[in-house]
Amino acid sequence: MGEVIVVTSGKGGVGKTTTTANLGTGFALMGKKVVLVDADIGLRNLDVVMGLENRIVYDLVDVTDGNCRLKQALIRDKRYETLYLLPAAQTRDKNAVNPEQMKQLCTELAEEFDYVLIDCPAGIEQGFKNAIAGADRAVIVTTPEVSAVRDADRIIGLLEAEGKHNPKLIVNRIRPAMVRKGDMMDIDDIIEILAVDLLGIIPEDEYIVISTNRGEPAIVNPASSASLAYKNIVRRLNGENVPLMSFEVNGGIMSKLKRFLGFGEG
Amino acid sequence: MREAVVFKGVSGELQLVVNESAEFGDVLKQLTAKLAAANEFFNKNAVINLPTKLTDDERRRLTGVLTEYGLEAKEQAGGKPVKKVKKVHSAVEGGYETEALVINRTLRSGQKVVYGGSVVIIGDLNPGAEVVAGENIIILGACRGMAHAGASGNQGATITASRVLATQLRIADLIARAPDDVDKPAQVETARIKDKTVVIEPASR
Repeated sequence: MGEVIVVTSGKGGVGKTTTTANLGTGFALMGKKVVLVDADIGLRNLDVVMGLENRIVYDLVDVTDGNCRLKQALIRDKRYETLYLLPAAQTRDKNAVNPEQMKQLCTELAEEFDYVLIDCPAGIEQGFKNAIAGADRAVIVTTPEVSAVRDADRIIGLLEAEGKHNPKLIVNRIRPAMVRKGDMMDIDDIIEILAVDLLGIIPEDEYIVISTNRGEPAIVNPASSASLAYKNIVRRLNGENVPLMSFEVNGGIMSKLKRFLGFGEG
Repeated sequence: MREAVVFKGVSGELQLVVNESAEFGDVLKQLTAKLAAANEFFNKNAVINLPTKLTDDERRRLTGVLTEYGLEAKEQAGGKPVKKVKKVHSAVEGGYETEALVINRTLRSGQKVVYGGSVVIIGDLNPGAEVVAGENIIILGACRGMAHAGASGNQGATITASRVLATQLRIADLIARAPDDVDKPAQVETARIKDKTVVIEPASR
C-alpha cells in the first residue's frame, strides 16, 4: 500500500507543478514506483513539464466517468520505467470530478504504486477539495513572499479542518544573497508564522525555466542547484534523515537553519 | 415534534441551532429540505455559525450541505466556553470574573471566531484570521491578525497579547492601525481605550 502525497500552496505560480514533477522523477531515480496525478482539470500543465503532452489519450475525467480503465489513462514516462502520469482533462472544469471519486482513485493508485503525488490546482475551491480528498500527507510549497506565506497559512488551516494535520513545508525560489542582505524574507520568519515542519529549501535556479521548456525535470541535471535540493527532499519524504543543504554564497542562513533544526552547535 | 434544526438570528448573525436529541441523519435531511424550500431567501455567501457541539464528521457534512446552497459555514475554533465560576475570593486587587472561550491552537488565515464573552487564545492569531469578542481578548502568543474586543460596544474591553504585532486592533467602535514602522515588542502588551483613542502599553503597569 503506497502513500498519497498532495502538493499544494493556495497561491498560484509558486512552483507546485515543478515540485511535483521533480519529486516524482526523484522517487523514480530511487527505483520507487510512482504516479503523478494532475488534479488541475482545465488548466493542465504537468504533462507539458514532464514532456509527455503528445502521449495523452485518456485523462483523469475519462477514468472517473468510466470511459476507460485506470491503466489505459496512465502514461509511462519516456525516461524512467517506474514513473507514470495521470493527466488532467483540458476540456472540462474542476466540477467534473468530486472528492469521493478522487478518494477512490487515490486508493486504487496506492495499491499499485509506492508513491502517488497529486499536483493540486491554485485556489481553495472545488479543485483544491478534490486534490486533497484522497491524500495521506500534504506538502505545502511557498516562496519567500508575504502573499505566498499568507496563502500557505490559509491552506494549512483548511487542511486541518479536513483532518489532515502536520503538513510539511517547502520554501521555493530562495535567493541566499538577498536573504543575507535582508531584502528577502528568511526561513525563520516563514517558519515562525506557519509553525510547521520544514521539508526543504530550493534555491532560485534559472535552469528550472530551461527544464520546464524542454519538458525534462531539473532534478536529472546535476549542474542545476535546485537538483540537489529536490533530491534531498525526496530522501526526506522517503524517511531518511538528511541535513539541510548549505548555500555557498551564505554562511549566515545555514547557521540559522542549523540552529532551527537543532543540528550543530549553532 | 421539536424541529431538528432551526436558523436563529443572534446579534446580527445567523446561527444554526441543532436539536441535540435528534438523529444527525434527520438533522441533515431537515436542513436540506429547509434550504431547498428557502430558495434564494438567504443571501449568497451568507455566513452561518455552526453549533459548537459537533464531531468533525458532522461539521464537515453540515458545511457541505450549506456550501451546496451557496452559504458559508463559519469555522468554529473548537474551543469550549469555560463554565462561569460562582464566586472568586482573591487576595489581590484587579481580578475580574468573566465567561471565556478558550481556543487551544493557532488561528490561521481565513479562520474567524465570534464569541459574546472573552476569548483566550493559546497560540498565535495569524494574519488574515479574526477574533471578535464581546469582552476582552487575551492571546498567549503573537497577535498578527485582526482582534476586535468589546464588539457589542463595551469601551472598557482590552486586547492583551504576548506580542502585539497586529495590523489592526478594534475596541468597541474604535479602530487602531499599527504605525508603519512598528518595533517588535519585547513584552506583553495591552491595548485599551484611553481618551477616545486606542493605546497600547505594557500589560503590567
